[in-house]
Amino acid sequence: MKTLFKKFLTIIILSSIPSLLFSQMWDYEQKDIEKIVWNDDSYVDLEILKPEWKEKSAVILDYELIHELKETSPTGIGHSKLKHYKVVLLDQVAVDNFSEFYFSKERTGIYKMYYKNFVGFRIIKPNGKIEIIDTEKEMIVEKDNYEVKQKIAIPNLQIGDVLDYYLFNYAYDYQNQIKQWEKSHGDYLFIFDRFLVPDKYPISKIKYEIITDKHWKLSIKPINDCPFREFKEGEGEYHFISESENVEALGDLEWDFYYKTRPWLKVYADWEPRHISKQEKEGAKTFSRREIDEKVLKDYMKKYYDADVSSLFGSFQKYLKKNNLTNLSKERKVEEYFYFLRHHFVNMHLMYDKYNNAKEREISHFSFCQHFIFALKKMDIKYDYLLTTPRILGDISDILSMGEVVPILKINFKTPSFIYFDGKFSRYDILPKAIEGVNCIRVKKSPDKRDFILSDYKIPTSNPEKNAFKANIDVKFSDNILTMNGKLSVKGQALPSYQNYFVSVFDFVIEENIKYNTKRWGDPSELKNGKMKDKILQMDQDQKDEFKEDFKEYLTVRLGVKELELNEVKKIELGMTAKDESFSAEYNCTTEELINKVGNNYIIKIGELTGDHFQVKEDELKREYDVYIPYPKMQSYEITLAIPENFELKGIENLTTSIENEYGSYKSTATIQDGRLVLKTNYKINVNFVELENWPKVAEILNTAFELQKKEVLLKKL
Amino acid sequence: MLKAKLLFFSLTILANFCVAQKDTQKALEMGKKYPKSDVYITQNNIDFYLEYNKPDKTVIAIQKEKTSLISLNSNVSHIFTKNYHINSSYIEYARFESESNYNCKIYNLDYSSNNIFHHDEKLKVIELFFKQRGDYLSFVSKKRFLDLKYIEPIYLANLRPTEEKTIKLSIENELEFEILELNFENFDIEKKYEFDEKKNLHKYEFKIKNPPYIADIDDVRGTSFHLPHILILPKSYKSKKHNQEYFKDTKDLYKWYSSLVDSVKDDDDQLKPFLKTLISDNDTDIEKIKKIYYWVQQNIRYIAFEDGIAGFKPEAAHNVFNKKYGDCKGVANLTKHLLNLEGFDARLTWIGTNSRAYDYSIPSLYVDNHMICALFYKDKIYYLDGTERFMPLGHNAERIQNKEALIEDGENFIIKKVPTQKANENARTRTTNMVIEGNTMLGKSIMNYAGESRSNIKAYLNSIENDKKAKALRDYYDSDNIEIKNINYSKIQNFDSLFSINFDFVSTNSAISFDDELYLKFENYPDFKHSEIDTSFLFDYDLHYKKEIRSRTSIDIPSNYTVTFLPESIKYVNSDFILEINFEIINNQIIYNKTINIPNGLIHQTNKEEWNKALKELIEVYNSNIILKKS
Repeated sequence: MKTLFKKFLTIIILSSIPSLLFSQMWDYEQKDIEKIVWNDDSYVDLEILKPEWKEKSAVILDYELIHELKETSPTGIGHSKLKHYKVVLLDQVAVDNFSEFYFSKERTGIYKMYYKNFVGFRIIKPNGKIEIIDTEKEMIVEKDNYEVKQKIAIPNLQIGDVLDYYLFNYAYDYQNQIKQWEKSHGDYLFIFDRFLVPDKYPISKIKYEIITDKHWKLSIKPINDCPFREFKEGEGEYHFISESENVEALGDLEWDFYYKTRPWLKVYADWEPRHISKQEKEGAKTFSRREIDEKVLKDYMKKYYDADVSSLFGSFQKYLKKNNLTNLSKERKVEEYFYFLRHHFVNMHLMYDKYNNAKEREISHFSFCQHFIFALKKMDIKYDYLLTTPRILGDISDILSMGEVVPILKINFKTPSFIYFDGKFSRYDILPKAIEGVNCIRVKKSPDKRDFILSDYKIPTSNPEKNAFKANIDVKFSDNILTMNGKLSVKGQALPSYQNYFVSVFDFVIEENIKYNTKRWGDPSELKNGKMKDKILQMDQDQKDEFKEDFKEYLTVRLGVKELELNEVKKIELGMTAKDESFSAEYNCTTEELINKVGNNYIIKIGELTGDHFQVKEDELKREYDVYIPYPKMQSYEITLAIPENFELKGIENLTTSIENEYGSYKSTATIQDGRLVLKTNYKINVNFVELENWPKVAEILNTAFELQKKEVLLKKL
Repeated sequence: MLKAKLLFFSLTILANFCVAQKDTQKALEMGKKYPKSDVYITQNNIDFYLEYNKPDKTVIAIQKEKTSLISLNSNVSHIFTKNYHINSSYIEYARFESESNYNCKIYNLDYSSNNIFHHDEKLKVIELFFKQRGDYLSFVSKKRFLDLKYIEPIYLANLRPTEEKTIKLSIENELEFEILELNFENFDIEKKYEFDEKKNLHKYEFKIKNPPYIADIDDVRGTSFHLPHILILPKSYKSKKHNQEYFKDTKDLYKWYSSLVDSVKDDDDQLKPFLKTLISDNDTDIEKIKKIYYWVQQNIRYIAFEDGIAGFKPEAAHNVFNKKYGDCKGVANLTKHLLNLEGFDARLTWIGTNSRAYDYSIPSLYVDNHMICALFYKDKIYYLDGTERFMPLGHNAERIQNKEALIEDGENFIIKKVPTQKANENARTRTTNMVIEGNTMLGKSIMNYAGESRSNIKAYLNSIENDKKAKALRDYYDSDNIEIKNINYSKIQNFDSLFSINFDFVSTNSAISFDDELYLKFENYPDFKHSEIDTSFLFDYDLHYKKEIRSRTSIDIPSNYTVTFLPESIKYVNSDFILEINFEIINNQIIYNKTINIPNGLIHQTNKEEWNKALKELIEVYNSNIILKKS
């Protein structure tokens, strides 16, 4: 008994010793943090600031970010993060912005996590006086079940003051949780920082620090002219510091992405239970080894590359046989299989989900691919995986973990096809616009099938014709009213937004169930009279009414009018099948706007019917960053206007224009044919990326289209 | 017996089935009647009790409310809120009475308005979600007022269309009280009264079918002006167990306000050093007053961390000064003390803004919702509102004009009305000259702002960062056809003078030639283009302040052209607005004049149709063209 007790006591004592030895930032109290950050009481010499910065609302004089990552005990890991700002407030807006702060801290997760945070504020007045804010007194705290909300108003803040404040938080995790994560996800991330260097305000001095211990393998990479090119040693062998000066403000996004155009720092820490070598440690000071860790990628692909699931392939073959489709080419069969799977995993359940107001079924893209791969193998079709990341996150070489990777299945037909699944409207061989034209890593099996071969690949960009919007509008003028009979159709990358807005489950689910011979759940024609049938019929009617309202709103915006009467609208195509690749609708509407009476004549704003175009103003022609356009596109309009009796049409010469360059084109022609004005326009943007120096060429196309949109014709009384 | 049970069971199901069918039918019917509303309240009952509460040893009020509603559309989210002050009331419970779904929630929030959060005013939020048209939900709540002073007005109206609303009051006989029935005259309200001798209770019932509703309209000035409501005025409670005094008259109200003010511990010594830096001995009295008033406006932020007796007790002046923030009471108190220290007779003043329809003949906390400072100087009273931005001395914001001000006067008080200003004191004038060049017009504009229009534009500019002001102004005046260049504006911090903006511009596609004719667009800033009033709502349309817009545009006629068509002039004059547009040709220039004057800042119900008619003609003029022909 005594021995047992002694053993027990020994364990208790021994497990506490590492905690005592590991006295680091997470052990700190608030006063300890303040000693670290508040070590310079001087005001600021505004003369040292760049002249143009003195006109700014505020300037960050000092910005420090410190990450500390340590083993806190044999079982635990702690991550401390300290942010310290020293900001001089140069106008009232800055005083208002910095005078109120809101925080919330959560205790979340099913695993025990200790989490602490605190904040501190002080003001340095121009006369050198320092006022420390009593956060205990000033902070208002409200507690919820899982959240603690805090807000504070900073007293006595004025223009010219320097606000010196910090935010500290600390999180603790168990080591075995990390191991679990690594096992299931293929890599482990603990510190994961995409540090965007610029801030809302310009920064005079900036410092980035990382402190670890011998258990961490650190990778640091500066991207897009990030100023943190070199990390020097700080206090202790695992302390890395990089500093820089004069960082310009972030600026607003204008058709670009921060991680593509602004400087940022990628920081990754691998937890290594063994000690890391001196060499590895020094590697962390300068540059990253983690471009893409091939081993991580290959381990990741081992789980997915060959994983296949057979559950639906047999049913698909029966479907082909039943519908006399067994002689389809392999390409067509693969395409049909895509829609077959889409139906079985998601679409066939939509009526049920809608009726019960449940979340729509989902299948992960990877699971979808697993079913697909089975079919490809059975049909002896070769495939690869492409690993990429959306443009908004940067480049594939910039990823920090496999969680950022978007895997695409590439089917190696003569003209490759690409598979990506993300819901009920997914289409075969259409990829998300966020990954068109991006670099990726192609993964294919080695000849002996035992390994993978990785190579670079660029995902093709679609062409404008594939993403076409077409509209035909027949316009009649009478009694100060314009009546329009229109038809529009849209496909490719332009399609999803129309489907999400206009296509309802009632439009296609029942037909799909019939086509694929699956249970026609919720089909009113199969239901007996009763509450359920009434409800479904009511839901169908509701969505028809909603569609009309939505379409009216869409037309109102598109035509730039406030009032419009939508007399009729009908969906013609939905873009839901292999053959049916467009959404299209026909409509009839009237409006009194777009016409101005001038004496006995009428001005008709015919240009407003040619789309909703964007104007690039003179000061927007010069850019600082490249341009990322959502996708290449084409818009064509054919508008006919019947010229009423006793009127002649003037001004059609103003409707002819043309411009073309390597980035696109805009062409417009107007003729009179059989008493009608026929106006044809075609707008094309060929690319989804434009270098900043070539932006004026694109702007010229946009402005030409915009100019045409503002053109008017005169109906002159004879 | 079994057959009877089965029959009963069947009938019950049938009854429920019929009720469900009826709700859908009702939803369709009401949906057609109220196309802009997503929900319809079938019943809203309020039971209000005023009674002595033994455990609390005070007289309390309890408000129990039940609301039942149906959805007029599918997938409808709707939010109700119940507000309370942490020191004076609380919500005992709020819960769903009917079966709700997982998307329905009840939770707490801080009350906030205009991005200012209020520390002691809270909201109980009842978030509803309806899956289908005709779905039914009901919820109940109970609110407790810890002190009868804080009983709110009870409205016979809702934010959504309602079938019927009933308010029942039960008031102990020991309470001396008055019930004011306000705005009842235009509505058909059923009233009942009885005295329950057994329980010694006064019982009132008010019932209204299809009560009026206001749904999220910013353009209506104060519900208390229009909607029928009840104000309960407790005066005293006398019984063997308990005696309590409330407000018998305005004197009592003032006495209570005064007691709160007296309890504030101001320390003027903390303000004196600052005043030495602000005021110079050579300053005239008016200069001193301006310095103090303008300094407060520019340097004290409005942050409503309200703390203290439901927001009625002012913060000490030195605290507001030291923190550089405060609410209206704290700011008024600071203004008063700074002026007093300089020897001026400045006093705290309670006032209800123009969202409150009451005056001080009613002894209620609901008469006022704001505090300012009244300065007595040379037979004149200046009303100083430190929460305003860029308000010059001698001017008053629209929201307090013509309102009664309750000014402290030791143990007594003074009631004065804040003077009204005319629309032309808020004038925005614009002078523009344009020349034709090809199919564009090149122009220069000078805009001058006075009064409220000046305060608004300055407040807007003041909210933009220094280095972005010019661009923000450019964007403000830019439009699809207009490109602004060379924009200049006068100093924002100058309180007393007119605020001016001038710029050059290019107006593209505004001179279109058709053969030998030139069609000119002349209106670059179509005021009130989107101001048509929805006449289905029964309330006056609030334009927020008295407005006057005057613009004069001149267009040089090219030497080889003559004017062949000018749009027709229009003129509308009534008690609520003057709208005048005319065109002239003077010295080879086309002169286009526009005047819009709104003397009350309101379009009354009776003038709405005329307003819409005038706007329609105005828009036709805006869209019209001037025609020149080559000679």
